[in-house]
This record gives sequence, C-alpha cells and structure tokens, in this order.
Amino acid sequence: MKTAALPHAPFECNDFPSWVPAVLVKELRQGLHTRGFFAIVILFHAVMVVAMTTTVIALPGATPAARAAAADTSNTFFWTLLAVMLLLVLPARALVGLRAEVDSRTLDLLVLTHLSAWRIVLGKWASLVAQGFLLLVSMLPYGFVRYFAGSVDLADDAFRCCLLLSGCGLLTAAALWCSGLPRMAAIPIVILIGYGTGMPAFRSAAGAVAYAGPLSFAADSPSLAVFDGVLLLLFFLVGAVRRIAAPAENYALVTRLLALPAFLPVPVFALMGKAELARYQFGFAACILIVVAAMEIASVRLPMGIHWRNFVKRGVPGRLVAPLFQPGWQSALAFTLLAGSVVCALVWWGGLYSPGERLSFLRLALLVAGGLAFPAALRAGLARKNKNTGAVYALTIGALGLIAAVTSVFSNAPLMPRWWLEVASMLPVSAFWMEFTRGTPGNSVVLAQCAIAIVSLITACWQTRSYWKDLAVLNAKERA
Amino acid sequence: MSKPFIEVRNLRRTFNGFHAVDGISFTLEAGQVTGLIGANGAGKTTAMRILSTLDLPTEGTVLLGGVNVVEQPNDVRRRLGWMPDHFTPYKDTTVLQYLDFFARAQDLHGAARTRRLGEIAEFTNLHPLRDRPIDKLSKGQLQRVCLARALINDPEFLILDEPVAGLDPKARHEFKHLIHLLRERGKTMLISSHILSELGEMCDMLLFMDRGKVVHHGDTHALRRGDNTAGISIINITVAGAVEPAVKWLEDRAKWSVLEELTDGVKAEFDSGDPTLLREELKRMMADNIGVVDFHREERRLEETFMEMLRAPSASQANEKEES
Repeated sequence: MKTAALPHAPFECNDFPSWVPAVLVKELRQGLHTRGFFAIVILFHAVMVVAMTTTVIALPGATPAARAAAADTSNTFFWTLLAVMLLLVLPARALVGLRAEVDSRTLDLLVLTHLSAWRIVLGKWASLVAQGFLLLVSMLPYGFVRYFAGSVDLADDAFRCCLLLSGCGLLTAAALWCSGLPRMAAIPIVILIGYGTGMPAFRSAAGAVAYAGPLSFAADSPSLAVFDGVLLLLFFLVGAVRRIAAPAENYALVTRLLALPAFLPVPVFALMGKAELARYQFGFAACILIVVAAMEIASVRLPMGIHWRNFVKRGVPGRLVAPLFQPGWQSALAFTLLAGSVVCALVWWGGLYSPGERLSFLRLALLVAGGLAFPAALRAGLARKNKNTGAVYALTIGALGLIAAVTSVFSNAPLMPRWWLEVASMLPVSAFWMEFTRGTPGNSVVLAQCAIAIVSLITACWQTRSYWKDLAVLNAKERA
Repeated sequence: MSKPFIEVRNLRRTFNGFHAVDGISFTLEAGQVTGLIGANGAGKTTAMRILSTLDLPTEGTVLLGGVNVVEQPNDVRRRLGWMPDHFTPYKDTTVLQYLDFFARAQDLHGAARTRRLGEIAEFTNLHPLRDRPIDKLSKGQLQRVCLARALINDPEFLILDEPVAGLDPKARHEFKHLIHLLRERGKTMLISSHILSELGEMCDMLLFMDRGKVVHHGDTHALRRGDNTAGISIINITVAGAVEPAVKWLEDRAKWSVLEELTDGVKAEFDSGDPTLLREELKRMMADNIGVVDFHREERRLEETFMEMLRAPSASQANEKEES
C-alpha cells in the first residue's frame, strides 16, 4: 500500500513581525535564549526575592524607626541591584558584541546582505537595550513591594528608571565601540590611553565638575543633558560602525560632522544670559571635537573613487567640501584645522570669555593642534611600512599622555628634577595635559611649547602633499 | 563575442610584502562553472574574498557584470552568493530562524520571504531540519544550510570555497547533485576544492593557481585529454587483423614510443598533446593502410596534470632566470 507524502509545514518564522529590523530579530532570538541571559534573570530575581521577603517579614510590628531603616535597606538594595544589572552586566555583554562576529567570520556573511554597518550596530545595541528594558520591567514588582515599607515616590522612581536605562544605552554603545577594536591592539591602547589620557582627563573633568557643581547642568537644563546624551550615544555608535564598515563606505563625513552640533547650544545659552551653561557646553563640544579629530587622524583608510564621486555629483558645493570629508588622516587634519580655526574665531569675537581667557584658549588650541599633528607627522615619517599605523598614532598619544600623568603625580617628589617638569610641559600632547595639572608655565616654556606645536603642524601638513596630489588625480579621473 | 561575466585584471594582494595573489588575470563566462585549484597558500581564498567584496586588492580590477567590486560593492553583493570555507553557525538558533534572519537581512518581507524560504528549503531539502538547532547539525547538513543561505537572494554568481571538504561520500554526492542543478539553472559558479577529481566532475573550466599566480586556465575535458602543446598523450589504438604492422609503423616514427602490445592493438605514447598533430598522425596511419578501427586518447587524472603543472617552471620564473 502506498502512503501519500505529508505536505511540509510552511517554512516561515513569524515570531517577530516583518517591520522589526533583521539584526534586532536575530539578536533578540539569540540573546533571550543564551545561558547568560537566563543566568542573569534567575540570579537577580533570586537575590531580589530574598531581600524583599526579608523586608516584608521584618515590617509587621516594627517601630517607625525600624520601618524607616527597612525601607532604606530595601531601597538601596533595589536600586543597587538594578544599577549593577543595567550599568555593568549588560554593557559587559556588549564588550564581545562585534568582536565575536569578526572572530567567527560571521560578519562577512552579514556584510554581504543588504545590511549596512550602521544597521548591524544599531540592531545589536537596540537588542541589548531591549533586554535591559525587559529585565527592568521584570524587576518592577519588587519595586512595588517597597510600597509596604512606605518609601515609594512614583515620579522619582520613574525618573531613576529612565536615568538607568539611558545610562545602560550609553554604556552599551561605548562597550560596542570598544568591542570593534582588534584584541591585540586593544590591550596596549586601553592601558596607555587609559592611564596616559584618561588619568589627566579625569583630573581635569573632576576639577570642572567641582567648579560647576556636580551635574548642575543636568538640573539646570534637562534638555541640554538629553541633547548631549544623544550626541554621545551617536558618537559611540558611529565609532562602532566605523570599525566594521566596508572600505567603500565613507563614514568620515558623519563622524566629523558629529563634532559640530555640540556647539549649537552655546550661542543659545549665551543669548539667554546663562553664561555658566554656555561655558560648560563649549567645553563639552570642544572635547568631542578633539576626540573626533584624534579618531579621524588615527585612521589609515584611503579615499576611493566612490567616496569622491558621492561629493562631486552634488555639484560645486560638493566639490568644494569634498577634500574635508575624505577618509585618511590628511583630510582629517585639514578638517580639524578648519573647524578649530572657526571655533577659535568664535571665542575671539564672542563675548563668552574675558580677553585674558581668550589668549589662554588660543594657546590651548595650538597645543591641541600640535598634539594631534605630532603623532601623525611621526607616523608618516618613521612608520611608513608599518601596516597598523592607527595603533602607532594611538600609542604615541597615549605614551606622551602617560609622561604628563606620571610627571604630574610625582611633580612634588624630591627626586623629580626641575628640568624634567619643563620638558614634560613642552612636549606635544604632554604639554596640553600639564596645563591642567600644573597650570601655566613660565614664558620661555610657553614659547618653546608653541614653537614645538607649530613645527609639528607644519611638518604634518608638509607630509600631506602626496595625498592632495592623489586626490587631484582622482578628481581628474572622475571628471573624465 | 559576448562580454565576459567576470573580468579579473592584474589582481594583486599583498600582506606585509608577501604576494598572496600576484597579478592574476582571467575571465569567466556567464553560466560557466569554474573550479579553482591550488595547494594550501596558493591564493585561492584571497582571490575569492576579493571577488566577493570581502577584501580589497592591493592592485588590479575585478568587474562582475561590468560593475567594479571595489567601487560598487553593494551592487555586486546583490548579485552574489558566498559560501565560506569556514562556517560558524550561530548559537541558540534553529535552521528556520537562521535562514529567516538572512531573508530579512536581504530585505525580503511577508509572503515573498515565506515563498523564497520555502523554495530554497525544498531545493536543499531542509524541511526535515527546520526546527533543529543549527549548531547541532552534521557537517553535511551545515553545508546545505550554508548553501541555502547563499541562495536566498537568488544570486547570479556563486562563490563556493571548499564546499565538499570534510563531507562523507553520501553528503558529497548530494552536494554535487545540488551544484549540478544550479548549473542547469544557469548560475555562474566559482568553486575551490582540494579534491580535483570531484572538481573535474562539477566544473566546465579549471583554473590552477600556484604561489599567487594562475598557472593554467582551460576547459576541463581538454585538460583531461591533454590538449596542450607542451604535454604528452597516451593513445590506445585498436587494429583489425595483425598488430605487428601497427607496432612497426609506430617504432619507425620519431614522436611515438610503444608502451604495450595488446592482443588487438597497441598502447603508445605520443610526444605532444596537440590535437592537430594527432589528427595528422591518424590520417597518415590510415593512408599507410594500418587497419585502425579505434584511436583514442586516454584521459589523464587531474591530480597528475596538476602536479605536472606545479613541476613545470612558470613562464615568469623562466623569464626572471633569463634576465638574471
């Protein structure tokens, strides 16, 4: 007897609607099934159950003081656990997000689809934040248990949840950015940049916060906090996208332009008479511009016909701005110098700073430009055959920053020679950091550091000659 | 003459001074199945990665259907299917979820996605595996999933890097059958493999690479027969009547040497692979009244041909020696 073959079930998967982005679907399917996610859910729920049960058991018949203490404890426990989960565990999971795809060569399969690098990174980020949101929602019932202890302020709780989720989003984006770095390069870069740049930067930022008051800007202008947060988020995501983008995709334009919107609120606050906020925002925007410039000047990508063509087809305006937005450190240096000059002009003619401050600002700007140009000039001169010249750039900046950090820490030690303090105050990069930790040096040192910065700039500019010639050839080819 | 579908011109890829691909040029016609052969480190995978837009050449041009793979990679990717030599499946994902993700990634939505997934599942016989975790599949099943993924966008050009490596004979047979069906559907394919006999069965053309250079590019059957002016040909001649006149005729001629006398003929070696010369020799035999009833060239094993090519110094090496 013959049996008829059963028809196959349709080969379709309808767990997510079609409009949900592909990478988000993939990451959620995987992410919600991983042992890591299960472990986090079970562990955090178990801890929370124990903590809240203890609170509830302790409450009946307790004195008002004991009730207040129990409420405090449950509050602290609840928010600490949420913070650990959202600000530590989830961003830590993102630290392997892109590297895992690169190492297992599954990224190759993704880039061959219609997915752009931007969609891949955004999908991964959105998935982790969605998982964070799910975890947060799953924890909310414990938040209501605190009601019995009489310590719930719904508006405050909602604000804190939003803050935690925003922090989770920002840190996850930063972790995704780091996950794109090559593992071998990441270790020395993290160590050197961390100590060499992070330490003096932290000291400067700590000084700024002490001056402006802790997070006073967020309280004074929540919209500015949101604006800066979104800019930072975009900055991290674009950083991650750049790590995996195909060479034919030009992210120089987006990355470099991303440094400029941060300056927009400055004149607004200045006109509103909020000079403090305007100065804070100006400092923040300048920091973003410096980091973007460093990232772009470290880049070793080269312009291709397709990059140039995308500008040229927009007519004369496109042709005019094209040289400023091509991949490569030479174009990035030109952009940095132009953007820096515009910023300096605004400072000089704007009313935000006193005449004395303006001069200091211009000197600082020169030190920044010299500090960014020096490693590029060094790399172009010495490391022609070194393939990973981006790492050379980062390591040079890190090493010079480390000199500043160590010199500052031991500046009062009896064994520290006086001449070394002066040398550290003159060296490129180091001179900039020493300015924040040691203050303005004597006139002779100021002259020397300015001279070194100018020589570095001129040398770096001189080394860009062949790049501009190549661009001219590219332009002629495209016109032909 | 129609324009070639793939055009590779003076392609070079250098890693820290080492030429992984060293100035190769070749063309592939539409609908052709070409086998890429070479020892480990010959530059096959590097060349394939450049063709599939995953790597950048140091020099040279690659055009796919007239589109430059470096300058317009997105246009090329829409027409391309890529099957890597090393396939890492996603964890915690079923076969259906895996293929559904790639269909979504190719911007297939709704009914179009369901239809396309159904077609490729039918073609690669993946219906029975639909709910199996992808990281628990056998190597043969994984290769079928990988091929299904490469076919989702219905590509014109398929690049398959070592598709049958590590497969058992049954899985290998099934895979070869799929390649055969794809060839019938007019897909242009470039397949690399170490198993030369199987490449011979699957491919119309063969491209031999050694130390980053193309050492031979030609028709598979011609290569088997030895249709090149340099090599030798082994000929089986069957005669009607006595064998001795045929043996004497062959021994009297400079280019022939008798290898074996058979009961109804002779096996001999001819000092050329040129088919024109062979035709002339056959004409002469007939004219000299040698009762030839069968005259055919013994096909050579591709492995032997490949080793022969590796032993022969390439033209460029010979030139370099002359110059020095």
